[in-house]
Formats: sequence, C-alpha cells, structure tokens
Amino acid sequence: MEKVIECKNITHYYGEKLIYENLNFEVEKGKVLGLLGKNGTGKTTIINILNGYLKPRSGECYLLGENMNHLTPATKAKIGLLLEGHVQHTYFTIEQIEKYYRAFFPNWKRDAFYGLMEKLKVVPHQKINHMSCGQRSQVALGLLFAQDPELLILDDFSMGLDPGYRRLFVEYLRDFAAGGDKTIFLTSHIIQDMELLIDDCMILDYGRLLIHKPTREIMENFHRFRFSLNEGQVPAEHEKLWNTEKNNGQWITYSFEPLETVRQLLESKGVQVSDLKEETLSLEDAFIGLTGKY
Amino acid sequence: MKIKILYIGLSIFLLSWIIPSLVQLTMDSSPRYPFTYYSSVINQFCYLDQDNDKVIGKDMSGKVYTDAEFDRVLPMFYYRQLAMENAIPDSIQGVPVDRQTIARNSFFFWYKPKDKNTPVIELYPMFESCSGKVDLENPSDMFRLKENIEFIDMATNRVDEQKSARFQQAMERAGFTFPALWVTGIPTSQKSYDEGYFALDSKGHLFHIKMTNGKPFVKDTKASNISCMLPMEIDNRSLYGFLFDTNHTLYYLSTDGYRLVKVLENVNPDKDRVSIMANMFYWTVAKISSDGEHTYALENKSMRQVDSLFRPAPESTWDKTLPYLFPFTVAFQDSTNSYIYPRISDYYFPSLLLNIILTIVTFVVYRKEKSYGKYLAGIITLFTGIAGFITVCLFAKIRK
Amino acid sequence: MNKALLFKEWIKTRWMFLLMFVVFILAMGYIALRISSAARNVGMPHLWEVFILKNVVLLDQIKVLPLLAGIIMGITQFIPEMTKKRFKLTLHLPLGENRIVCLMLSFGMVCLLLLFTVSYGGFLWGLSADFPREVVGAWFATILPQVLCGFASYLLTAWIILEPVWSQRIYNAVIGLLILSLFMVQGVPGSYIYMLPFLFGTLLLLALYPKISIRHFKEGMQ
Repeated sequence: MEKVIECKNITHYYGEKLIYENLNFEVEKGKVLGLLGKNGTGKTTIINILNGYLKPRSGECYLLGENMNHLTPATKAKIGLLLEGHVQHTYFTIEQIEKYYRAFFPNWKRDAFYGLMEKLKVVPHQKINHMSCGQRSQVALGLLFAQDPELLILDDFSMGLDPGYRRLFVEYLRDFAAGGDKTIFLTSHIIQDMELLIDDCMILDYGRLLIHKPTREIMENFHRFRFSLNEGQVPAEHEKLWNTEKNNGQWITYSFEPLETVRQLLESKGVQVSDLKEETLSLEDAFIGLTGKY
Repeated sequence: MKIKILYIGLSIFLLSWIIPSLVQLTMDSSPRYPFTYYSSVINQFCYLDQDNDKVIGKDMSGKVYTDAEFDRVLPMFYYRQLAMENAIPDSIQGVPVDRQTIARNSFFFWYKPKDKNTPVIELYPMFESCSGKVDLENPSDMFRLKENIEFIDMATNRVDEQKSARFQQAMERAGFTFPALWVTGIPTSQKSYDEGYFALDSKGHLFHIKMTNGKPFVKDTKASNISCMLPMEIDNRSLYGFLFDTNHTLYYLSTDGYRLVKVLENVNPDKDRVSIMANMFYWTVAKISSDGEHTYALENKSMRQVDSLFRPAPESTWDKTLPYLFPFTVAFQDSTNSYIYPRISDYYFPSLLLNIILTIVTFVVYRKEKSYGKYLAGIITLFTGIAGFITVCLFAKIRK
Repeated sequence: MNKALLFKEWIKTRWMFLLMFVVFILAMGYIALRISSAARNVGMPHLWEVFILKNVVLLDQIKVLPLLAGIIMGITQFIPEMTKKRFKLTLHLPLGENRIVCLMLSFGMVCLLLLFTVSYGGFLWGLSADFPREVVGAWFATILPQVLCGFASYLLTAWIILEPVWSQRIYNAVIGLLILSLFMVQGVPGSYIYMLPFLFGTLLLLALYPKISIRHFKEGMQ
C-alpha cells in the first residue's frame, strides 16, 4: 500500500520535558487514522511537526513522499489542514473566503462549500467573525471539502463543538472518506463518536506511543474484566493486563486476551479469582482502559 | 544563515554607533583653548588663564595682571571698557587713536569647516548697492545662478526675463563662462552696506557681481584657484572677504583693486577652524587643527608675521579611554560638515585586551552549543568588542 | 493565486489604509492652509525668505506621520496573521514560502508608496506653483528620509510581529529603534544626500529580516 504519512524516529522535548522518543508510524492511503491521547500528550505537536511548523529534536516526516520541511506547492495543494480551534481568516465574509481559497486549488468544489453553508443558514456576506464557534467550524470544514484534498489533517476538530455539530462533522468526514482514496489524519481528545469514523487508532501516552492498531481490532478484542478476590489478596500484574484497579470493592482489569487467558494471568501468583466477567467496550471506555483515568 | 550574518553585521554597526556616543556623553571631549590676543602695547601675546574657577590675565612671561591692568594691556580689545573709564591712550605705537578709529578698524572673523560644507538653497536676493538710502531694501525677486542667471519674482514665481537678460549679457560681456560653480554673498538686508555676490565661473575665475542703480555690475577679480570664499562686511570697507585657495592658503580679497593678500598658509578649510581678531595694528589669527591651536600675530599693513604661539591639543578623558573600550566607532555627524552619513573610525588595537575578556565570556555563554557557532561568536566578539559581544550573546545568538 | 493573496491583504488593511489616506490628505491640507494664510498675512516675499534663507521646511512638523503609517500598516497586516497563528494557514497555501512573504511585503510597500506619492507628491506639486524648484527640491530632500523611514518602520514592524520568541521581539525592537533614528537625524535640507544610498541599502536588508522571523516561526520556537 502507498504510504501517505511516514514518521521516522521522531524525538522531541519541550525544554527538558520529553514528549516522545523515537516515535515511528505510517498512515496508508485511504485510511482514517485517529491520534488519540489525553491533554498534553503531544497530539498538536505531531501535527505541527508533520506540517513543518515545528522542528523536532531529531527525526523526519514525509507527507505524500516529501520531507516535511520542504513541501512543494503542488504537494501543499493536496493536503487540507484544519488548525486546532478551527482557525480561519475570520475578517473575511463567507463569500470572500470562498473566493480567496478558490484561486489556489484547481479542483475547487464550490458547491460543496455553499451546500454546507446553506445548512448553517448563514448569508454569503456575513462576516466569519460574527458567527458562533460551531458555525465557524463548519466554514473551516466546508473549505476543506471544497479543496478536495488527498490528505486531510485535522487537529482536534471536536474542540468546542456541541454534540450536534460534532456529529455533523463526523458524518461529513465519513462521507468524504467513503470513496477510499482519501486519507484522513485526525487528533481528538473527545473519543465519543470516533468509532464511527476512524479505521486505525493511535493512542499516545505521556512520552510514548501506547498502541497503534485498527479500531475494529480494539473494539472486538479489548475487553473489561470484573472479578472478585478474597480480602487482602492482590492479583498478579502482567503487561497484557491494563490498568488493574479496585473500584467499589470490585476488581477491574482490561485486556486484549480472551477470558481464560486473563484468568490464568490473574491467578499466576496463586490467588483465587472468582466470578470473572467479560464486558464489551465502547471506544471511549477502551481508551480509558488503555490510558487510565489519570 | 546568510541573512542572519547580515543582521549581525548591522547590529554590530548600530551598537558601535550608539554605545560609544552614550559613553562619550559621560565624559568631556572638546578641547578648549584660552582666549589669546596680541597686545599692541607690550608686543606679545596675552591670555586669560582658567585657574580653577578664577580667570586670570597673563602674558607670555607669566606676569599676572589684575582685570584693570589687563584691559589696559589690550586696549584694542577692551577699548569700549576703557572708553567708559575715559582711559583710552592718546596714541599707541606713535599713532594717535580714539574710540571711533579703533572701532572702525577692528573686526572679527570666525570660520569653521561647517560654514563651507553645508547644503544651501541656491537662491539669493540681489540688493541695490547704491540705493542712496541708509537702509538696504529687500528686493522683490531672487536670482539663481547656474547654467545662466535668472531672476524670479517672488510674488508670481515667474522669471523676470528682461532683468535676467540684462545680467546675463553683462556677465557674458565681462567674460563669465557659464555654468557657475558657486555663488556666495551676504543675503540679508541687515548689514551696513552691500557688495553683492562673488561667483566662480566654470573656468575657475572669481567674479564680482552686484547691482548698482538698477544696472548690473560684473567684474573679473582675476583671482583663480579659489576653493571657497567667505564674504565679510567691515566698517572700514577694506576687504570683500576671506578666501581659501586649492593649496590650503587663506587670503583676503582687498577692496583695493581686488588684490589677493595672503594671510596664512597650510589651513585646511575642510578640517581646521580659523579665528581672526583684527585691529588697526595687528591681527591675532588662530588656526585650530587636530594637533592643537596655532596662534599668529600679523602686522595689519603688511600681513608680516611678528609672533606665533602653539598650544598642543589637550587629550581629553574620552580620547584617552576610547581606544581601550572600543575597537572602532561609528558616527553619523561630525563637526567638519553638516552632512549625515556613516563615518567609521580607525581600528583601535588597545581594545583587544577587553575584547579577549569578552570573548572568554562569549565562550561561557555558548558552552552548551556544539556547532561551529561558538567559534564564530568568539571571533566576532574578539574583533568587534562590546558591540559584537552584545550582538552574539543577546540580540542574535548563533545556533546550528 | 498572487491576486488572491493580495486580495486577502487588501481585505485586512483597506479600512485602515483609507483612514491613513484621509489623515495624510488632511495633514497636507493643514500645511497648505498655513502657507496660504502666512502668504496673506506677511506676504509671499517674506515666505520666500523664511523658506530659502532660514531653511524652514513646514513639512517637518509632520515628520513622524510616515513612520506611524508604516507601523500601522505593519500592524493591520501582520497582527491578524499572528493571532491564533493563522500564519500557518497562509504558509500552507500552495505557493512557495518566499513568494508568499515577498507578495505580502510588496503589498504593504506598494500601499505606502501610493499613500506617500499621492499625498506628498500632490503637496509638492501644489507648492511648485508658488515657489521655485529649489524650494520644492529642498523640501523633497527633507521629506525623502522621512518617507523612507515609513518603509523602514513597516518592514521592522513586520519583522517584530512575525517573530515568535518574545525576548527576540524585544531585541528586534531595540535594533529597530536604532535603525529608525538613522532616518530621523536633525539636519538642514539636503544634509541626507550622501546618506541616501545607505538608507536604501538598509531598506533592502530590512526586507530580508522577516525571513529570519518566519524561520523561527516554522521551527516552532517559543
């Protein structure tokens, strides 16, 4: 498969604080990849590095085969970029901003933009400054769809959106990706609705990449297990058991392993596990299972 | 990186201007020389010595005078004070004197290079030299003199063709070759009499141009090799003004047949200052150049040098400190001309001591830098001193 | 594409630009009014004398106007780019980075050139009706460094605003003040004549400086 994004051995620090060391990942063409992580794990940092707006301590990124620091105009035209907070040139009106961007992109789809604007019930000479946060996010989205890029990079697109707009955003993105030749790389700290959209999931923890797996694999195989132990007993710890903790008198652990394997792992230090139950998870629960609550 | 080098260069340049000029403000810098005048009573130089806060009159033998005595030893300078005290002698050097004679034959002339090297708007009022009235009248037009001579009426901003043609013809008849190189005169009606203008033609001849009874008066003075002229009006009307020739000799242009009279040699009009205090017996002529003050006493009639005096330029705190503080300085103005442009001083090697210390500090600041940047920063500081140090350690850190 | 980028610059700056135009025209009108009132009160010949023999240049009273115009132009053009780091969007456009910067700076320079040419040019043209070319020339020689100062202040403002590191911004401002003072040295008309090549050279240098800021911006320096 064609690699649209390639990051090799990215190491970055803010001052003395390690953000990640030797981060490697790839995104294949046609995939929707979600980069998830708690606040401060470096999601926006990755986006900035990818677009050449931040120089990492070491390592290289390639977008559509070009080095991040020397993207040619032709390649930039194929990449749609949504900045954190749906930042756009808000001193323009709807009409002006469409006219402005139209000149830069040969495949400009005017109707895609105005179609979305009609849904928002905004008039063409309305200034973007005077719109609500949700409306502004849709303007930014409309511009991206009109640009019709091969690669869409969205930084925290759900920030500040109420559920209606968030869902609208997700649905539009899903339709956009449906053709199969578009690649989307997005970050989010709100996981809700995300299982509808993303094919692959990358979860960042402080200083490292926790997992990079297809979403379906996580949804199908990653489960929560509840169990009881005798008073004073502690279950065995294992790298295949995630975030084992006691909550309201009941023990909880998370794992990709099937029930029987989990039982063996828990009992490997000689404790007796009773009423072990497996529960299927939403992506949000899975995220908490992987990263912990804190 | 190339742009950054340009930035570093400009920063060093600017700091080499502002820091020295701020430091200079904290120190005294311009040398001062005592007032000196040649006495026609005792035939030697007398001067006012600044002793702490007191000013004491002395002569060259070191004799100290009281104020009243000093007035009497320099009657040509203090004649007004003496007149008030009724103490002007009847005669000096066998010549009978009175207040009016002294006043009529005394004048002062001050020259500084800026008088010559200053841009002017080249339009001049042509006064009527023989108006028959006590006061000069302001004309209603001004003239320009370059490719030709043109009088422009001030009320209408139009060229007065007839008057212009009259002057043009008169000048051509007198042998003036256009274009004119420069024109000089005293363009004010607040003077006791008018002698019009002096202009250098393209062949280097100096011409006298004025208007008498509404008619042009043009005369070739026959003076040549003149580099500049400073016109004067003095009560006895004995001279038109002072001139420098191209060989750095100072003359005056006598009203007696435009005779050029040599006053002093080796005066560079672009660097030296000149002061002349003239009286009916002697001229006290001082030339202040970078090495010090040269004072001469010249006999009024013959311009023969009768005495001279040299005072070396005192070295100011600024002059002494400068070479140890800064490897070079930049200035945009100086005392020799009114033009603004960058002037870079010589390189002062004594500053290397301070520069070496600053270079060591630079290496401390750059201790974590692994690239060649730290060596570049060190070299810059070593050669450009404080300005370079501030630039590479603060304004423009050199990174990989 | 070039046109679209210039369109964006125009949308950002048009109202401020028009306002500046009005201020400049008013300022020129004020000076013209003072000259005509003086001509009525003391007479034209006296004005000639004051202008020619006393080196009075009335335009000196508004010498900071071009400087302010440059700063305002720089602010209205580049502050919106730096709020919320919108400049990333501009740099992401499918144009070469140098071309983007060059176009944006050229836009500001051309606006200022237009502003200065129309206002000062119109004023001097009017002046030439009542005063000889020597006076007009001397006044032009006096305002030329002031006008160049306007261009310099614009480029310096862009340089300072685009710089992402705060401490560096302060250093840039110090250097900027020193540079601007080179354009503002008190002198008689014509005293800048030998300085002009140096001032033009400085302007060329200043046009390159925003590149340093943009490099810092692209490296994500804070």
